[in-house]
Amino acid sequence: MIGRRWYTPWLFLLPSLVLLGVFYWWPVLNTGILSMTDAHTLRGGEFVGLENFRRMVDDAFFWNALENSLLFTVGVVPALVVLPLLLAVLVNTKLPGIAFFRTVFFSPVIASMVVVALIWSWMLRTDGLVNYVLQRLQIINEPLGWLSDPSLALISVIVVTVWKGLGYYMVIYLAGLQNIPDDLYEAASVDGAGPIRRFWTVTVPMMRPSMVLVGTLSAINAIKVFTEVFVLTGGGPFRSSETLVLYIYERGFEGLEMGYASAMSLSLFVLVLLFSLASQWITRRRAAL
Amino acid sequence: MANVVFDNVWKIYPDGTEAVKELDLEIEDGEFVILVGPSGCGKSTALRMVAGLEDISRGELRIGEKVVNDLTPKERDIAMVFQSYALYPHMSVRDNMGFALKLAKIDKDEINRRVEEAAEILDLTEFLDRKPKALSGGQRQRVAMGRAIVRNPQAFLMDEPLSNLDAKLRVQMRSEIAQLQQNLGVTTIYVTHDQVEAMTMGDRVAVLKKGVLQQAEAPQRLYDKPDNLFVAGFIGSPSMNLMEADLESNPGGNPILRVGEQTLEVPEEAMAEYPRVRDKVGGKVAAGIRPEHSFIPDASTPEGGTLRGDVRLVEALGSEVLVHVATQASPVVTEDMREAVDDEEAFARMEESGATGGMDMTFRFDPSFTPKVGDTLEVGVQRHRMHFFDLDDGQALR
Repeated sequence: MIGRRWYTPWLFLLPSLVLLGVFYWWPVLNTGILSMTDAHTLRGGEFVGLENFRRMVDDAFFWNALENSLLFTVGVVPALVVLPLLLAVLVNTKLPGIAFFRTVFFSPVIASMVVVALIWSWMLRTDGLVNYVLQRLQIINEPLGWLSDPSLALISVIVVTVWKGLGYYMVIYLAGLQNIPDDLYEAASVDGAGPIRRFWTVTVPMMRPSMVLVGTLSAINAIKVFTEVFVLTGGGPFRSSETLVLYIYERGFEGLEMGYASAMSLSLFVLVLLFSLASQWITRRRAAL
Repeated sequence: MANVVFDNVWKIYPDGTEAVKELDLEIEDGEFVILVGPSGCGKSTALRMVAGLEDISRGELRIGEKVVNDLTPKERDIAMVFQSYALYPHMSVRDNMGFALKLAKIDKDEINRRVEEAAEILDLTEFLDRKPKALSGGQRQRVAMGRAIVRNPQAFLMDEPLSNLDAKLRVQMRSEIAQLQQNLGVTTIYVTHDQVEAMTMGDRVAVLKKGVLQQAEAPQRLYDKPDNLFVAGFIGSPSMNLMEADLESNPGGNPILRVGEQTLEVPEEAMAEYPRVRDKVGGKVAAGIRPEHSFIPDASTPEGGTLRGDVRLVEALGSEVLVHVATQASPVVTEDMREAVDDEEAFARMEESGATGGMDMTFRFDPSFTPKVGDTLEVGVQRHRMHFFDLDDGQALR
């Protein structure tokens, strides 16, 4: 018999540990360290204690970005919890050719976000397709600055993000829907429930775990949003659509203030952690009921 | 309450599969009818057509003289108990039971009164505020029953409601459901593949095979007078011993069945019951003997009244003993029997023993009789209770 050596399991774990260490834990640790320095992108920094965090409190742009991130999350999450569920219910029917629609609805997911955002930025231009169609339908009289009007920019980014995410969350819901036994729908029919009542009595309660999952995933993605905003509006106009990650990027790579950017990254990390803990708490509480 | 009438009802799926063919069956007001048959015989489809969960392809379905073909389940005023119980997992027992009443916009106090009354009947009062997952299988089954009875519907439809319970609970619930149905007097259609349920619970049993109704009779009559080979082979446990045998003429007497080297004389009573047997003299028939229609012969047993063979297996069940005897008879291996046996492997074994000549017959004796495996046994046959069928069309030779 081969003797068990204490380091055998560690050898198996080593490749993963190295990768995780280099690409995850070291950057996290480094962010923590950097957040307490005045490090510059091009040079090391001095230890400044909690100075960066104090600065964050007084930084109106930070609060603006945080507010935009939260508004973005509040706009995106309910839409991404509800709309893909409705879409999933629609494509979960056994109609001929339904596979085609599933593919169509899923296709934005496989497209690159940059490409999608570019196409949408053309469509949303003042002389773009969206304004043209809305004017032809006489919904609006004057073309709107979807991406150039400070009151519309963030909303436009929300709409594009929801459009891009629909298919992905629809697939998560489809998997959940297919686990609901037909018997429950049939029992509800026999009990006298019509299609809408069946949706509320059977689909929604049975889909609650999937909805919590979708809510958590979409919230985490929303609070971390970058590409959509970067390509569509660049955070403008007048920082009206600048989200936290965009501001971190701006400080870190344009302002070259790595120390300050790291401090804000840590605050973002805490925010995401809170979302995850909240969702875990909801899931556990439901399981205990 | 109402009667339920299948009037030449068909179910044909888009791919052409005929699940139910030409079903004519009237279930009277307050009657408890069991639909039974092997898997794929169309019994569940027929039930689901009554519920409105399957469209009716052809024919007319009436509940209480009203044609319901195009009515939604909601408009039919029926209640259904599902095999899986189909309880709403997020609702309490109380809400599960009251859900249909709530949808029917019945007054809250009235809902509570009816739910509590049903809970009382079903011994569920203490569980009313629990969720289904906190209940045992038997309790869930009761909740499903409760959900049906609070509605006071025109008819109860039950789709194998006991098949998820363990054997002991099944026996208990079997009698409880039968009792409940008797007390409530609601027209009930009950689907099962378990023939003990079929025989013990209903007023009438309708046997289906491949979508076609074979016979609908009171359980005892179905057992005593099967109309065809399929019903004979399907109803009864252990099932009827069905053998293929030559029918020889007997100058000055009744025809004689040849079973290998042995013979069985067909007595007068059997000839009276199955007069068309006479037309088959010189040919082959399917002859059936129920396991319990056997006895231990004595000196007074006439010649041509017994079968001999080696004891293959003895099953002592306490109240009775089942003895499997290897005889020289050939089993009936027609399509009817394939359906009745409903087990491809068992049917293949029958075909094999048919080819080599010889089949095991099962006989039921008093437990005081304890033959040993390997013994050669002479078994007396109650020939007047034998059954005879046409080998070609499977029909009883009445």
